[in-house]
Amino acid sequence: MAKTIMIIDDSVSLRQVVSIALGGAGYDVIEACDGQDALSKLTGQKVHLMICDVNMPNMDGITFLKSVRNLPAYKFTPVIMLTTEAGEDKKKEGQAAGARAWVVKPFKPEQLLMAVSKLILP
Amino acid sequence: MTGDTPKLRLVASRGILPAAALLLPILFVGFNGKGLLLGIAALACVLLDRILRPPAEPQPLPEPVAVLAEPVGMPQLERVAGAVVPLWAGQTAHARSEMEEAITGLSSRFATMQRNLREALEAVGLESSRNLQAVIETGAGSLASVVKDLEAGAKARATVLNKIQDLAAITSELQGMSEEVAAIANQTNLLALNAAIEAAHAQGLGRGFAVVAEEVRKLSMRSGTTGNAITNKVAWVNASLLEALQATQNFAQQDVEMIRNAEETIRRVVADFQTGASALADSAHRFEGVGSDLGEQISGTLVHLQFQDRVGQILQSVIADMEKFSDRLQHHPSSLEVDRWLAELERTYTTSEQQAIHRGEQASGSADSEITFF
Repeated sequence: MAKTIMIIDDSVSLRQVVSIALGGAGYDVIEACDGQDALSKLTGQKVHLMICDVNMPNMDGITFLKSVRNLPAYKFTPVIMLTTEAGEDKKKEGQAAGARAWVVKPFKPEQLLMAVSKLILP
Repeated sequence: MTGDTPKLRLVASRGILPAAALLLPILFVGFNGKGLLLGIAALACVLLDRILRPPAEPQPLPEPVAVLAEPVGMPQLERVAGAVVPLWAGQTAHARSEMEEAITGLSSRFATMQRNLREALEAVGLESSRNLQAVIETGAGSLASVVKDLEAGAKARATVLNKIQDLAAITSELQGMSEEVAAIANQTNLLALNAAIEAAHAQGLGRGFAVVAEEVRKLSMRSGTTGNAITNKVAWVNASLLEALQATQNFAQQDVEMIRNAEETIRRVVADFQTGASALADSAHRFEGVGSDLGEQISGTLVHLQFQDRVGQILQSVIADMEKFSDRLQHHPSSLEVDRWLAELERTYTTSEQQAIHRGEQASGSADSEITFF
């Protein structure tokens, strides 16, 4: 059975690019446009990994990550931050919030897939 | 209006001098061939001088800081900026929206293209499988024909076997006949002996001899009949043996022909399989190459398609700053502090390119993923 990955990004085109890359590798992809949307879509879903932008309207990626870690079902679900932010301070903030990897855009599909396969839950 | 004077001067210096160089010789010498020639020569000298002279250093643009810091002209600046900056923001937002729409459409088409390609590749694989299936079915039909020939051969062998079994039965019958003939011969010998004895006793009594002679005659007849029967049977056996021999020879020829046909059929089936397998391998190899190339191209395109997200963030930052600038001009035009403004602007940057541009450095596009695992 295919693993499910959620992509959370306010850019429709980037969500599509990520979906193409992951879908081509056999993953099922759920899209969310921001942190709030993602939290609402997590209910009743089994998500094996999340890829999340940092700067988003309504709820940014770091706030979402902190909220996700409070959900028992997703306390240990790996989250990859996918962002244009390359600053060390932001990375440390993401790490402290529970991110497992930090990928700076633009990403190469094969590198993102490598990170996904390395982190995704069995 | 102060800006118009240097502009007019520039136009004058660029346009009047060549015109004067052309017209003055004509005026002084007259509008004839000589005057026109002198005028063209003077014009050529002026233009040549302009071409050969090194260009003047471009004048640096006035520093925006100096404009903002200059108290003189602030009302004009406020009016202009108040009017223009919202336009900038609107135009930029529109450009961002159009780009978002275009890239989203492009991504959708790309996804469709990838899906179609995958389905096409799967269909090609299916077609190859069907071709191979057809080859297998043809081969199975041909091999069934070979089996049928072999069955015909087996039937022919059974016929020969039956003939030989008939011969065996006849041989047994001939043996019985032979034994009977031997018994007749014994009886004949005995009768002949008795006849000889009786002949010796009787002399004149020929009646007893006549009876014995009759019995001998009957035995002779029986022997003759049996002999004929044996002769007939032997002739039949010979004919059967000849038939069996002929059948065996025919069968041997058929065997040779059948084996040659079977070999040809098997060779053809194997060749068909090899052709099918080779075509399948070629097809798989070709599509593997196409798939690999396409995969690389798709991967590269996916990287490029992400420019919208980065450009969108940069434009969003510019739009927000423009809106902030417009708002400040409308409500607090005197509180503009350039250093503070720039510092606040810098804090809104997310990409390294924005920061590089802010520092006055060359912004280089980031084409490689940077991954940090925690």
